[in-house]
Amino acid sequence: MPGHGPSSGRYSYPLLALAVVVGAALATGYSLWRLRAEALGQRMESTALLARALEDHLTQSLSAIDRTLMHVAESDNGETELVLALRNAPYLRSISLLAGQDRISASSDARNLGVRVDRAGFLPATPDRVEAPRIGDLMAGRDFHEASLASRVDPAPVLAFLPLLRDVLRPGGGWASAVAAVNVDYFLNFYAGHLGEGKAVVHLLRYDGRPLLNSHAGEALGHTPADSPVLQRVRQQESGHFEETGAGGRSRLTAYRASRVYPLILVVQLDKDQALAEWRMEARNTATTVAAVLLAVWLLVGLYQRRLAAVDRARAADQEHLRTLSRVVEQSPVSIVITDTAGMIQYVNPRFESVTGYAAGEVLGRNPRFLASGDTPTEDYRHMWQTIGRGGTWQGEFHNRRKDGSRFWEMATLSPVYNDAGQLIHYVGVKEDITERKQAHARLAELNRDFISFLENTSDFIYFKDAASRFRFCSQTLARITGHASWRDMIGKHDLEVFPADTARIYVEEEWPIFHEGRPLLNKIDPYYDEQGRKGWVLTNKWPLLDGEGRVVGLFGMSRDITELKAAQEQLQLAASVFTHSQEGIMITDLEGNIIDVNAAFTRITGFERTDVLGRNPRLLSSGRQGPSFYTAMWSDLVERGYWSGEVWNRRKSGEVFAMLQTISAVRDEVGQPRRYVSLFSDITEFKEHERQLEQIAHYDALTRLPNRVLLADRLRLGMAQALRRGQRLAVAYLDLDGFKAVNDGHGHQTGDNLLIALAARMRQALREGDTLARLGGDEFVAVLVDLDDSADCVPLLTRLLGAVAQPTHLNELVLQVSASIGVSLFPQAEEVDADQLLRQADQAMYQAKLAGKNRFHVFDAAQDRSVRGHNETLERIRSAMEQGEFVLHYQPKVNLRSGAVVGAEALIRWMHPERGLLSPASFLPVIEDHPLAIELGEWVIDRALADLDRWKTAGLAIPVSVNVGALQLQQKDFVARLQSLLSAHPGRGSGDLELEVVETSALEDLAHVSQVIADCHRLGVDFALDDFGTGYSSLTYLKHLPVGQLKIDQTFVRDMLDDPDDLAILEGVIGLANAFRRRVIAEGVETREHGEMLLRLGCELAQGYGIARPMPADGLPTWAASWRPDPAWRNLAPVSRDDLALLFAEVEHRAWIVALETYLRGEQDAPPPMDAHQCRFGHWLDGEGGRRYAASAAFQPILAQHGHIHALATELLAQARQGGRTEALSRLAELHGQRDALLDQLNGLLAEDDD
Amino acid sequence: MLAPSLFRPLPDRLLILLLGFVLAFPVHCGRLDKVLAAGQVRVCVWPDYYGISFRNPKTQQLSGIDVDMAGELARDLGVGLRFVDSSFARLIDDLLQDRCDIAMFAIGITPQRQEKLRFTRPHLVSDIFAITTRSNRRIRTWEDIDQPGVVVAVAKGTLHEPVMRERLKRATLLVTATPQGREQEVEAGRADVFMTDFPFSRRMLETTDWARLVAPPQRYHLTPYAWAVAPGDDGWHGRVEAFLDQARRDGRLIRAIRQHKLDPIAAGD
Repeated sequence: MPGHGPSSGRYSYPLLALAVVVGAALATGYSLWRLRAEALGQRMESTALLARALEDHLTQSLSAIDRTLMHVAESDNGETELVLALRNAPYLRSISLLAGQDRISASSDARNLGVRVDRAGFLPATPDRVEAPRIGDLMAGRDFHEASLASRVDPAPVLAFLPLLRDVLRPGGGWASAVAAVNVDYFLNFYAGHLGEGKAVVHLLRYDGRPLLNSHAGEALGHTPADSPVLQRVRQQESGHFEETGAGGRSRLTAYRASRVYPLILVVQLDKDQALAEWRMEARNTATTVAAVLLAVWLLVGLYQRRLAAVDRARAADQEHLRTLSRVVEQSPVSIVITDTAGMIQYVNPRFESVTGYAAGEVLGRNPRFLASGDTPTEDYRHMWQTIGRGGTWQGEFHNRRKDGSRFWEMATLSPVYNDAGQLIHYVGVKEDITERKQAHARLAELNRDFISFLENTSDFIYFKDAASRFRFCSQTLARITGHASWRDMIGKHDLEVFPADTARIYVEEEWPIFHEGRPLLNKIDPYYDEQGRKGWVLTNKWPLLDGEGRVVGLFGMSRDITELKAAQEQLQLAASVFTHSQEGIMITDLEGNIIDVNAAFTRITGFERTDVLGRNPRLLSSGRQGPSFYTAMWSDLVERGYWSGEVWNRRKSGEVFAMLQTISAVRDEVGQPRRYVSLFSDITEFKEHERQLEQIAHYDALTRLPNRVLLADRLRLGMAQALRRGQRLAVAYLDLDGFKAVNDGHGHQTGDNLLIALAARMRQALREGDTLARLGGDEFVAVLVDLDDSADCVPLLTRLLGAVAQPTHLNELVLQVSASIGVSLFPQAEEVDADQLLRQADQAMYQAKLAGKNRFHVFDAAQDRSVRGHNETLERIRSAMEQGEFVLHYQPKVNLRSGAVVGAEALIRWMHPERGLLSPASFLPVIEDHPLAIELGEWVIDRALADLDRWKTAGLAIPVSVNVGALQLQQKDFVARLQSLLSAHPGRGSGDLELEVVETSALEDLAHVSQVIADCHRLGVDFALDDFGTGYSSLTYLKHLPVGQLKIDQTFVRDMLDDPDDLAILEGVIGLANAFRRRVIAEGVETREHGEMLLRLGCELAQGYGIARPMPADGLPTWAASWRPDPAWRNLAPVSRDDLALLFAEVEHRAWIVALETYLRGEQDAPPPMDAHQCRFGHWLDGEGGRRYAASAAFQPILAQHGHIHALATELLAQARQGGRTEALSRLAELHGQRDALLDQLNGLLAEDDD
Repeated sequence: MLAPSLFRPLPDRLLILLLGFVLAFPVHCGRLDKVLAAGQVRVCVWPDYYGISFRNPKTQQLSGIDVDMAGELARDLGVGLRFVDSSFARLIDDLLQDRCDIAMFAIGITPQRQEKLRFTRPHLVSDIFAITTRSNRRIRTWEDIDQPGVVVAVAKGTLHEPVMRERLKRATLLVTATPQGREQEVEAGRADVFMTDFPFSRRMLETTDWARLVAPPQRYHLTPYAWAVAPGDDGWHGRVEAFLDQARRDGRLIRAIRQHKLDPIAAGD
């Protein structure tokens, strides 16, 4: 180690460096100085060389000119040769020959001729001619012809030439002279090409010092400094070079050379600065480089110096550091062992001694393994040696033994130590006694383990938070419920990161007092919602965590899910409340059935107080209505299923029997063993009564207490089943009262109802025990007669029924009498029939009975019905007929009887059946009546009718057409819309062209809807007519609400009006009604002239019927309309006055009497009409009202007489018939008719009289 | 050929037409057929025309754009090629007297020549340039040319002769008729400048160290350059034009122009 004299060494470096730098600078300066001299020498030499080369070129060029001059002077061949000589001689302007007085005699340029050349200015200057070239002075101008002496005229001419003169001694004697104008520009161009821009300058001087050329571009041609030292020098030496200082103090290198032949000196001058320019550049570069290098050297030395100083300081610090380390090792609280490479101890520190109990002297030279307790795994040692053997540091624990034999733990760090050469020299071990720490750690680990176990297993929410309110740890339950897989995931999180924002805010707020005031939060109950959104409750306690000085450093909280607890409590409360407040009686018994508790409702229902029944058996309630088997079954259910439910009749404390609906459930304990029975019951006595009443209402007619339609169906089915079983017959009698409406209308509904009650009772009595009498409604009844051995057995019963009804009934002051029409159907029949069919058959038969004259029964003829039904076609066949276009429309005209005007036509559908010919609607419409096909067909009819309407219009017939609309079609929701679309397909239609006819019954089924439809159709220009008017039950109210425009009187009334006063009355009433409601009225079924007459008399002018025209194909209508004329008899018939109406009725009465007589004569009626002329109705009228009104008339007496004749004739015929001459009597009917018609004519005469 | 003086009363053009008509019959076929029959096309060139048709004195090889194009023409025609030395002075005679079939050396189209010859579409167009010596103190700019005392040289028969004769007002015009006559006059100082075109001026600058270019400050006198044939043979002229079009289209022309560094004066289409 250079321990001493570092300072002397340290300062010697800069000195050395300085010396080197100075030396290098001096050497460089010397070299540059030498280089400068060398550069100058070289430039001078090259200038001299250039001067020599240029002088050579000059001399050669002038020699060439000289030779040319010699040649031309000698040959003297004239101008042509002169011109030719100029070829390829760019240094020549012209060549001329001189003659006497040196005037130009021939020249390459004719303009030179005659010019005199002055020899005075030429060098060498000799007085005599010699054979030598001479150089003239520089001449300004292009050639001799415009020449002037440059030195005199223009020292710097723009254009100049140099004359060269040659005298030649001719062979024959005498001198010839030629002169050339030398093109100085040629030389200047040449020099410019060889010198380069701005470097050297060439001067051409004559020996006399006259400047001729100057290559310096900026100067004049012949300008050369006058004081040039060249002239002096050339006198001593023909060529040379020197350095001179010129004008302006500028030095330049000058080389000169005199021509070998001509008196010319060529001077080349080079500016010294320019000559040295290259050297200067190089010197600058060199100096810069050297300076940079030297500076770098100087800097490196400086850096090295500083480095040395730093190393010195570091070494001193190292020494101090070593001393410190030594002290540290000695005083170290850890054991330090240093071994040699073999592992033998070389050093131990005092701590080692104190820990192990061994003195240093005892251990030096030993291997440390003597400390081993044997508990440390050998694997650890092996690994240790591997690690430090590789040069690594090993750290690990040893379990060692002290000198006193006690064990202790050490944490050891072992490292190999290498010298600078990288050789292993020591191992160093640093060991710490960690026995106590290990023990403490083990205790802590146990605590921690238990705590974690607690956190992970407790069901409570337990959590510790730090002062920043972040979770330190918490129970797994809390972690799970907040969506964390492990409680460790919660560590460091804040409430805001864990809970929903609003929840977290609550926690933060409630924790504020804990953190800031140290106040615990106790027994707080919070709601919460789990993942499924179910509400729950937690009970929370939180306490502050305090440090040693009582500062709050966190908190500790426990929350417990008390949802179930709370729910259980609530359930208990609820159960208690239910028990107490239940409207149902509740009774709890033990397994033996002893009553444990009952509620208030029990007391209310049974009348027994709680105290009365506790400990007693519920059988005290028993009414005795249920037998032992009932209770056996009940107990069996309870034991087997734990449940029983049923109705029980029990007895109240008051002794009253009541019904209760009871449910008994077994209450089981945790293991499923029944412990209690709970009975819930409610008093259903009232309900049972109500149920009975409802049943009554459901099955019995409220008014008559007879079974209603429902019960009837039931009984009928039972009866039918029974009849089949017993092989007996059953009869269904459909009974409709005749004239009951009149009672209702005449005496009011109450009276009608009372009559029904009375009749019902009588009819009931007329039947046997097993028979059923039911009321269908109104005045319709059905009797089911059972146990008939023969169909004839029913006749006495039916007769009794008729009698029961026909019997006069006394109601208060009134004596009412009605009759019944009964239709009968029998069961079983040849074909299988059901109950409904039976009823329909009976109904149908009832109508037959009505038609047959009422107050009678009619038995349904199944055979006839079958034949009618057989004609009906199947639905499918009808559909196919539609598709095949087999349906056609026929039209029946409607006319005004009086005016003869055709007022319309009714469309009537016909089926052109391929096999059966033209079929009327009766054979197919009933089949599709309730089928959607009916709508389809109905719409086809409308469409077809509208098409025909269009065709008639084309044919000139403009009449409205009316179409029948079925109930189904009319009740369609979109009837109007569909109608509109049908109409829009026929744009030619006008308002009122189409009229729809609906039958009264279908219109009445849904009055509101139909009214609306009619109103809507009005807006479409479609009117309505009520068809078959009079057959239904329409009241005046209905008619008022149906905005139909026309009423069609059913043809049955029209057909019989002449013979049936009832029908005439109806007809008269209908016409009056139509007038009252301002509805048009039209009569159907006009078949004869008399029909027409009667209608006209009644005030009905519109009519249709076979008497006018049968339905006809559409094409036939226009022709028919054009040709039809009404019966002349109708023309002048006015409606009769109200007063004369009775006359009309009287006529009809008479006709009716004739009919009755005929019927009797034919044997179709049991009794003849009254044969006394005063006993018949017409007779009554004649005697009464007729006589009073018409007695004054002259025609009246003949009428009386005629009536008398008729009765006489009738009596005669009757007698004849009774005496066996029926045939004869019948043959004389025409006679009777003749008399009748005569009477009628007379009666009409009365009317005519009246008209007058 | 026929001397124009004999037919003076007739306008030249009509005369040529007539001649063409008369001669067409007996000859029966045009120059094209003759060329094809002879298997050789004779091309007049001016061997001093640097860049156009220049015969290198050291190798005696012709080179230049029109030499290249003449080679292309011969190849297109499928015949051999023979160059016939000519000059601007001899041009008209050489063509009219059938010493060559076509003159291809960038012949400036002037009215005088158009009276006698038929030109192809021009392929070059050049202005006039002046060449002087580097040492000439008198001529520095273009304006210095037309000054009293200045001698301007032009070669006889070149398009420059009539142009300068017309344009020069103060300077003296020197017309030279010998080969290299005008440059010798200038180099020797007998003339100050000589007038030439772009190709020739380039030659001077490239081959001598004394020449200095004086360019007109703005356009002075543009002359289109073309090839010339004797008039009256539409077939031949048409064939040459077709070749020229083809060469223009397929790029042979512009390649040749570029190769000889004449793109500054290439004629636009």
